[in-house]
Order: sequence, then C-alpha cells, then structure tokens
Amino acid sequence: MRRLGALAGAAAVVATTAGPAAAHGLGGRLDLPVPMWLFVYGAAAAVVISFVALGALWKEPRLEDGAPGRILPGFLQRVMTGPVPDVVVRALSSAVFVLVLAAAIAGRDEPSRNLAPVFVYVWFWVGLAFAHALLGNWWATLSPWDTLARFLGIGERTRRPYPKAWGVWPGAILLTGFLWMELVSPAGANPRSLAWGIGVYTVITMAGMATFGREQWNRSGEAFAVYFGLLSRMAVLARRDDGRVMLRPPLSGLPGLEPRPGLVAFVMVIIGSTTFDGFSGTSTWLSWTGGLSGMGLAVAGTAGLLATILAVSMAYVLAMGAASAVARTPWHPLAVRFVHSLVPIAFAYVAAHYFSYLLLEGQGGIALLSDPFGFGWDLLGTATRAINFTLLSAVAIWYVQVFAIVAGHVAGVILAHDRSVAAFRSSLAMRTQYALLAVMVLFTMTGLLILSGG
Amino acid sequence: MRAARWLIPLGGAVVLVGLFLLLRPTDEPEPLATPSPTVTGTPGATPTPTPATPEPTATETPTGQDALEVEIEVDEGGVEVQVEDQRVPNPATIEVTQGQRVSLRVEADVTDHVHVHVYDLLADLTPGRRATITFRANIPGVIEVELEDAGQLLAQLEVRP
Repeated sequence: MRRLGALAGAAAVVATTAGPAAAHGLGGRLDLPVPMWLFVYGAAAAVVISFVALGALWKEPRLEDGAPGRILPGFLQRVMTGPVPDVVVRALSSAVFVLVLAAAIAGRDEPSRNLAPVFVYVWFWVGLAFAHALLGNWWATLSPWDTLARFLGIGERTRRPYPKAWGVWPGAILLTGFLWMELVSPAGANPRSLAWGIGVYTVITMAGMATFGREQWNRSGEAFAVYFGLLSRMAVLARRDDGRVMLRPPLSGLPGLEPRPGLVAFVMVIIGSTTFDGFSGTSTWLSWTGGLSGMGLAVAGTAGLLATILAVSMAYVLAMGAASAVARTPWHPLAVRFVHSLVPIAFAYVAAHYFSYLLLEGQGGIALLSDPFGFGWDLLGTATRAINFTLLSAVAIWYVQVFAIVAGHVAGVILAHDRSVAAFRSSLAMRTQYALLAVMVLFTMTGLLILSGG
Repeated sequence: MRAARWLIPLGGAVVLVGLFLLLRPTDEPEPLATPSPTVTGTPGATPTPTPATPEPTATETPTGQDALEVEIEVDEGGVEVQVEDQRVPNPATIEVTQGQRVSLRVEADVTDHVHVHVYDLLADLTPGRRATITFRANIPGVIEVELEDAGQLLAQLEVRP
C-alpha cells in the first residue's frame, strides 16, 4: 500500500537494480505515530472492556439466529435491486474497469501520473472495503469479472464439482498474491505491472468460473468477492434470501458466516498483511532493511509478509488449542467456528491504517480522473486539483485510529462471547472465552503498538 | 442482583472516562509549551509555499535564522544527516514542529534530484554544488525526503503538531 508514488521513476526502478529504499506511501507520507499516552489509554480500554464483557454480558445467545431486520420501503428496493439499476451499474463498472486497464497498459509509466495505481490501491481496495463494511455487499453487482462472465456466457453451468476441501483457499491464496504485489513487489505501483496483474487475475477468474461455475467461484476463488463479502456481514444493509434489502443491526450478519475450509487463513491474511504494512513503516523494519535494495528488499519483504501472516495465525491457533483443551473438543472446528469474531478486528486494522490514506492520498484520483493516461488532458476540469493534506489534523487521525482498534476489539469480544454461550454450557463458555480474549487483547495491543511506531 | 449487573458496565465506563482524563496531556500539546530556539514566531510571517501551489523553491540564498537547519550529504551511496550540526543515526528521522521553518541543504556526488514528498518540493543535484530547499512545515505526518531518480530514502521528516 505504501509504495505508490515513491516509484516516480518506475521505469528506472524496473530497469536498474536500484530499488526503493523503504516502504512508501503514495506521495511518501505515513501517519504520525500515536502518542504514548493514547497508546496506553487504548490498551487499557481494551483490557477494561474485556473484563466488563466477561462479567456483564448476557448468558444466553442473542445474536446467533441473526437479527430479523427491517425491510426497506418499496422505492428503495426498486433502486437497489431493480433490473434497470443493475444494468446501469454493471455498464458503469465495466467502463471504469476498461478505463483503468487501458490506463495501466497505455498511460504514462509513472504511478503518480496514471489513474490505475491510485484507483486500484486506494479507491478500489480501501474505498470499497469501507463501503462494504458499512453499507453491505455491492460487489455482486459491481464486479467487472462477474459482468464479463455473464456477458460471455462463462460459468453458467458447472463443468466440474468444486472440491469441498478447497473452501476459500483459492481466494486466500489469490488475495495473498494481490497483497504481495501491493506491499512487497518493487514494481507494485508501476502501471505496466498492474496491467499484468489485472490481466492474469482476469484469466484466472474466468478459468475458475468456467470450470466450477460462476457463483461457486465468486464465493470461493474470487478473492475480492470473498473479501468484500466477509466485510459486508458487518454492514447494516443486507439482502435477505428472498432478494429484498433489509436494514439490520451492525455485525448481525457475522454469526451466520458459513464455516468453510480456508476461512481462518483468509482472515489471517487480512490481519497479517495489515500488520506487516504498518510494521514495514516502523524504524525497526527500516533499520533491518536499511542496507538492502532491489532484489534483497523484495526477498526481505516477502519473508516479512509471510512471517507476519504465519505469526498471527500461530497466535490464533495457540489460543484455540487452549480453548479446545478446556472444552475437550478438537481445536480445528473450534478455530473455524470462532473466526467470525475476528472479522471486525481485521476491519478495524484496515480502517485504522488506511482511513487517512483513503481521504488524503485518495484525493489524488480526482485529478487523475480528468487525465487518466497522464497525457495532459483535462476532461472534467479537475486535472490541476492538488491534494489537500491538511484536511485531517494529526490529532484527528490518532483518535480515529485508536477508536477503530478499540471498537473492533469490543465487537470481536461480543461476537465471541455470544458464540461461546451458544456452543457450551455457561461455566465452560466462560473458560473457553479466556483464551479467545487473550488472543484478541494480543491483536489489539499489536495493532496499537504498530500505530504508535512499534 | 439486576442492579449489580448494570454496575459492572457502569464501573467500566467510569474507569474509561477517568483514565482518559488522567492520561490526556493537561496543557497544550507539549512541543509548543516548551520553548525551543528552533520554533518560529507567528506562522505566515514570511511567505512560504502552500500545498495548494506547490512551486519548487530550490534556492541558493541563505536562510532565515529561525529555520531548522538540516544538512544531508550523499557520498558513494551512503547518507549522512545532520540536524543543527548534530549527527543523526540512519535511517534519519528529523523531528519538526508543525509550522516550523525547515532549511534542507543537500550535497551529493551524483546528478539527481532531491524530493520532499507531500510538500512536493524538488531541487536539482549536481556533484560539488549544494542545493537548498526552505519551506514551512505546515502539513503533519511522516514525510519522505528522497533521492528521486535513485529512489533512495534520505531522511524522514516527522512533522508533529
């Protein structure tokens, strides 16, 4: 995420071995470290809330059946689910997809002068994450790959049954690939590399849909569909089984998450990659990799990314191992059953790390919409719009970051508690929760520690 | 019994509010309260480039006395950074108070550009010739100063409120 723009001489970066020296932001900005007192406060708040939750939360499950929700009025239903808006949105998103791909292929080979990098890494990856977590799953309609497959008649029928054991593993692997390109690859922000990335991903997606059917691939192998789908379970808007849109309490979609193979890995990839992104901006990482460049830096980054994902997974597995020893059940089904409670924590990480990125660096896309190829056009009259970096004060960013992490922790604790009392007798439920609570406090502390500069 | 169950969250809330009041810095933000020779007077006393009009201000003129003096030397790929004549260990982090004036003097043994990101200030570098960039640090954040063509990080400016 933090490498855009720094590669202004992207062609030079590809051609020579002189790679970038450090993790970078679009325009070379990182958030200031959170001050010590606020770090301490956030950490203390997480611990206090955890103990309150243990002592005071309900003893009977309340969230398991999912909230009934309230059906939205008719005209809103028609706007959101009608056939005409569906066609319009699909046409628009396909047009944008073609524009971004064209810019990546033929536009100027400079990340800061090309629409593709800021669009893919800020508007699409971060912007749509926020949109889905808050407003529900729009990707089913927005996905240009879904539209393309429908248009070409790909994946209408299943050629081969999807192996059940695969679960969302293909999605987790492809997501890791995208994140590697974003966070590690020295040429990740280069428009030409992006063009290759988009092209390869499109081919994989079409192949997956053609083999296993469009719907099946969308819920298993299409990494972004799985990612946005996971986040949208937190949202207040959702479609019921009958297709109507309802308003529901936040988080209430998460208990209904179907336990599938690879789901734990998928969530760990989100948490681990965000942790690594934050960590790679700290002076610790910079001093470790200070002497490296080019290939060495890419190798170190790859190792760092994978090691962080592994470490996060280990922490969760250990906690579930402890819980399973208490409950005398195998740990693996337990790990899958409780992973929904980590989704708000994963989103909190994303929100804390990237919200200033979306609101500040994301502004860069406004100018580039007028000049997507960097040819000096001014289609919308916005080409000279500079980024207003003083839109957010440093203090405002700090408060939002710490609030996001603590709020994610609270949501995770509530969801885990509800599942515990649903799954076990009350005395056992309390004791299985300790392990989960410990790992949540650990994730929250890590998140805060990295925000405070590690 | 019912009242007792409400006491726990209530107590938790009280603890949280109390902690916040206790931990929060009591005065203005610290850096402004402590008098420092490098903090400038009233902001806007001297014309500075604003983020809206990022004009390159690569000048050779001597800078004002109140600016934070930063010297960066690039020699055979190695970087040496001095702040107010004090050597800073690499990777160099230069702490700046928001609103303070900064004077960057860069000397390199290569032909390249020095780029202050976000503020978007560029200056040409040629061997044996010193480039100076003077600006008022109005944008908070960790800002990169980079050897542009080589893509090498020279220093990070930590502009704090």
